Amino acid sequence: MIFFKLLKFELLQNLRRYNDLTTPLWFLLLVSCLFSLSLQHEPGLLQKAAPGIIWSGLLLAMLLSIHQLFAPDYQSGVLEQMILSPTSLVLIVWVKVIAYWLKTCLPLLACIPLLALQLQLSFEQTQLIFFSLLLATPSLVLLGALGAALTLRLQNNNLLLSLLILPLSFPFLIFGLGMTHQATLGLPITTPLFLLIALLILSIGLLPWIIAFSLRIGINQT
Amino acid sequence: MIIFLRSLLSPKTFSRFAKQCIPWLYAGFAVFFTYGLGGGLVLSPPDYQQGDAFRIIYVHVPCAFLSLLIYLIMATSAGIAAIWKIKLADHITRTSAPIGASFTLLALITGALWGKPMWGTYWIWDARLTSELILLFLYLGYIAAISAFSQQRSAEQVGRIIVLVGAINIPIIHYSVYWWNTLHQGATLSKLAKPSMDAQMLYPLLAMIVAFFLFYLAVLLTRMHRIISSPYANSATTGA
Repeated sequence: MIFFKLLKFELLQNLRRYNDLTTPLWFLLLVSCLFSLSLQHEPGLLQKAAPGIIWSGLLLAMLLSIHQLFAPDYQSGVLEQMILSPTSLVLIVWVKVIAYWLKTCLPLLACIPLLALQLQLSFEQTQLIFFSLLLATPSLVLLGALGAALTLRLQNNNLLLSLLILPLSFPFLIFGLGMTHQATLGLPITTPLFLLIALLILSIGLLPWIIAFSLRIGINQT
Repeated sequence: MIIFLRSLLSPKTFSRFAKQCIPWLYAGFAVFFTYGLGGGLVLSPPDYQQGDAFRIIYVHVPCAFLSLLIYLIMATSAGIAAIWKIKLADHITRTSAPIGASFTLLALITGALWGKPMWGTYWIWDARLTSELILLFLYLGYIAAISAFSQQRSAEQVGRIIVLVGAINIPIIHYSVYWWNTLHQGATLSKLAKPSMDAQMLYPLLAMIVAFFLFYLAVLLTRMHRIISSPYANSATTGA
């Protein structure tokens, strides 16, 4: 099937550029070190702030690398071929997004236990942070992909991309952190969990088509 | 009537029409503003709880109201532009953005000034304050994005998507922030005890909202008139 062929190709291509793959990891670890060191004189505070630190670090690590999603293809002209090809553009967007999630978000998620050690989190909290991020990262990648598609034709677009996407990612942050907060209070976590899932469904249902449309806009004019 | 409305869609006719409207809009603004200001600052009695400090409501509420309304107008005209490819709608979206951003900023500033004597703090991560701040970021993101493109056409197309996606997100952001806030701090500092307003206070407030809206329309039409009639923009609109 063409979907898996494309996915395999995309992943292989990414694995060969493994420098791009590891940079977000180092970035996330550095952010957590930064917070650990700056809060080391206030012992209780670090543990309380830990979920927020992990969430914002991960969000930034993703946003700072997501402009690579379409940029190489755009510069080499492959993107135009993709748009011209008979394969549906939405399918290609899906492949790109899934490949990006597998190569960037999955390693970042795998880092969470390490961060939890660093920030002295309990096992239950780590679990919750992990699952909330597992649910939120696909939507965040889709949002980031929209930003990357919109700023396709601009060079040095990193800051603009963050300016566009960060305000839209606040609900995910709030619901995701709401889960850990509810749990520490001993309350049921179903409400934020369901809201996160609802947002995930909403972004899966809407964003790929908008991304494909934005890519066409990015290409059609010269 | 329909023919008249259709003729308005052409930038040239619209520009001429706008030029005629502008003085009337400013006159209407002056009338409502004078009544609202006089009624609000002089005639209406001081609040039983907040004293004279509540009078900032006559600036704060219209600003906050317009900051949302202008985004709504932008989203509507972006949708119209995306579906029917009407040039004028793009102009409305584009020229509204800085005005909306300034109203949002004004609402935040007046809110902070009001918050200091009432709540004892300039800023608190209250639901409404936070969503207003995020609204400001949405405006700024839109403005930054469309000004980053050198070509007007791609700026407009990208701008439409940004505004529409933002419009879908505004209710989500608002309710998520609201929910988060109610979870975190409950009713410690926030939420004024709001007495249902007396007519003496209410009418000046409504007049101020109308006045601010007329002001927005006047500024919008002035800017649009200038953009459409300037030779540079004209070549950009017709030539693409």
